[in-house]
Amino acid sequence: MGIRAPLVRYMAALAVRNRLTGLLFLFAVVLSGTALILTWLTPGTERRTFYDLAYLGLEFLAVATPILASTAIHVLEFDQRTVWLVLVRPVTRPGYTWGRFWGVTGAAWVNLSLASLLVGALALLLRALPEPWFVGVVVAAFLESLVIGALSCLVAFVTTSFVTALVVNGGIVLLGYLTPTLHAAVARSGNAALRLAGDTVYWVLPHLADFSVREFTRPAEGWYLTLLAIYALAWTGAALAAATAVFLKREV
Amino acid sequence: MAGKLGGDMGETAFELEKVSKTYHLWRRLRRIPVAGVRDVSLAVPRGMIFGLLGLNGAGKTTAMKLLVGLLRPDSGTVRVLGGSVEDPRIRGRLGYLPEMPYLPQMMTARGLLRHYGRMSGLAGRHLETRVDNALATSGLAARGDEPLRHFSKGMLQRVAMAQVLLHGPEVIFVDEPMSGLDPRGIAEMRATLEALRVSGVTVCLNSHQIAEVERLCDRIGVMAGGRIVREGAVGELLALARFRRYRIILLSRRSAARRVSPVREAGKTGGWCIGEREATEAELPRVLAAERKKGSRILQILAREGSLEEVVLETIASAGRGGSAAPGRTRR
Repeated sequence: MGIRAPLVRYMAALAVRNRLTGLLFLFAVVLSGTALILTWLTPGTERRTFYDLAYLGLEFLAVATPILASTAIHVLEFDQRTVWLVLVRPVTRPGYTWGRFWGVTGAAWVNLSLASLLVGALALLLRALPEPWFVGVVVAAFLESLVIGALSCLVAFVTTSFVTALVVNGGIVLLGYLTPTLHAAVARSGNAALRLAGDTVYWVLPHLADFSVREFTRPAEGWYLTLLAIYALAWTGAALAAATAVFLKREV
Repeated sequence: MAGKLGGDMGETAFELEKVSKTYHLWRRLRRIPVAGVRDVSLAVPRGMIFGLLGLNGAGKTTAMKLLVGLLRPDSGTVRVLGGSVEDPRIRGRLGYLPEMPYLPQMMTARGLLRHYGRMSGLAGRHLETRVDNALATSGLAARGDEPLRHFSKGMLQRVAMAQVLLHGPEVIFVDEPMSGLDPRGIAEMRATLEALRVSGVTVCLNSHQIAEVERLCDRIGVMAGGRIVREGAVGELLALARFRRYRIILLSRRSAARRVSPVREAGKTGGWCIGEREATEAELPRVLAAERKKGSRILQILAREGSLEEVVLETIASAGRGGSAAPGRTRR
C-alpha cells in the first residue's frame, strides 16, 4: 500500500491539472449563475427553479468529471505513453488501477465539493431557500461519481484509444440512465429476443437513474441513501476487480 | 554457458533466457503475428555498459521493454538483479529512459520528479534533497518550477534522465539517450553514463549512434530479426580478422594503373601515378604479389582496423543472408 498514496496523488494531479476538468467546474459555475438569474425571472417558483438547475449541474459533474478526467489520463498515460515511467517503478498493476481510480474519483469529488459549496453559498445569498434534501443529492452525486470512476477505469483498460473509451463510457452512461425505461418498454413487448436483450442490459449495466434523487424531498428518505451506498460500493468493487484483472494482462 | 555469453564475468545484472515475444496486429479482421524477439539469450555482468545495436525493427526496444517489465515474454525467463522483473522490489532498483521523453507536459520538472520519487519510495527531506540534486546535475535548477511544455527536447531529455537517476538505481536501461541532443548535450550524456559506470551502475544502452556505442560500451550485442546475432566485448568485435583492412600505397606505371581497376589514382608524377587499394588480411599476400608482378612499387602498407560500423553492418547483412558472421561469437 506504501506506493499507492503517491500514485493517487500523481493521478489526481494529472486529472485536476487537466483543462477539461477545469472547464467542467466553469460549467458548474455558469449553471449556478444561470440558476440565480432564472430565480429572479420566475417569481413564486424561485426555490424550485434554483435547485432544479443546481441539482442538474451536480449530476452532470458527477457523470462528466470522472469520464473526462479518465479520458484525459488515458490520452496522457496510454496514447502519449507516460504510463511507461510509472510502471517501471515499484508499482503493481492493482496498485496502478487503485491509484488511477482514486485519482479520477478524487478529481470528480473536488469538482463536486466546489460546486456543492457554490450552490450552498448561492442558496445562502438568496436567503429563505433551505432545501433539506440538498445533502442527499450531493451524497448521491458523490456515490454516482464513484461508480462511474470505476467503470471508466475498466473501460480505459479494455479499449485501445481514448476515442473508443469516450464513446463506450458515454454509451454506458446513456444506457445506464435509460435501463429501467428500456426494461419496462421491452417487458411489454411480445418478442422474446428483445426481452432477453432488455433483461441483459438491465442486469449487466448499473442503474444510474437510481442516483438521481432530486425528486425526493423528505430527509426521512435517507434510508434510500444507505441502500444506494451499498449498491454503489458493490458496483465499484466489481468494476475495479474487473479493471485490475484486465490490466494485469494488458501490455502497454 | 554456450548460450549466455558474458555470464561468467561476474554477478549478473540482467539476463534473458530463451526469451521470445510476438506482437499481434489486426489487419482486415485478421490477427497477424509479428515477431518482436525470438529465442534471445543474454547475460550481462554488473558494472558495465552494455550496448544493443541493430537496425530499426531489430527487436532492441522490445528486448529493453521486456527487461524493465513493460512487456511480458511469451516464453523464456527475464531476470534483473537476480530476481523477476515482475517483483516491485526489483523494479525499485532499476531505471528506464525511453526513446522519447514521455513526460506529462503540464507538470513542472520539480513537481514531476517529486511524483516519480514518491512512487520510487522516497519521501520527506530525503526526497527533496534528491530532487534538488537531480535538477542541479541536469543543469535545470533555475527552471525546475517551469512547466515542461516550455522545455526544448534536449531539456526534456535531461529531465527524463534525472528521473532515471533520482532513486539511485543499480541498473539502468537507456533507449537512444542521445537522440535529439546537441553536441554539448551528447557530451554531457556521455559523461553521465561514464560516471555511472565508475560508480558501479550497470547500463544497458540502446543506440543507433555506433561511434558513441564504441566509445562508451564494454560489451555489445548486435540484434537482427529479433535475435542477438553477435555479442562480445568491443575489442573482440573490432579485432575480428575478417574486418581488418590494409591500405596499400603504391607507385604504378600509368599504363598499368589504367589496366588495374581497383587502383585509385591519388596523384601523378610523370609516367607514374601514386595509387592506393585496400585488401583484407587474407587477400594481402595475393594483392602484393600481383602488384609487384605488374611492376608497381609498394610505398607503404597501413593496417586499418575495421570500424564497429562495418562489423555491425556485416553482421546484420550476414544474418539476413542466413550465414554465420563469425565463429565462436555468433549467436543463432
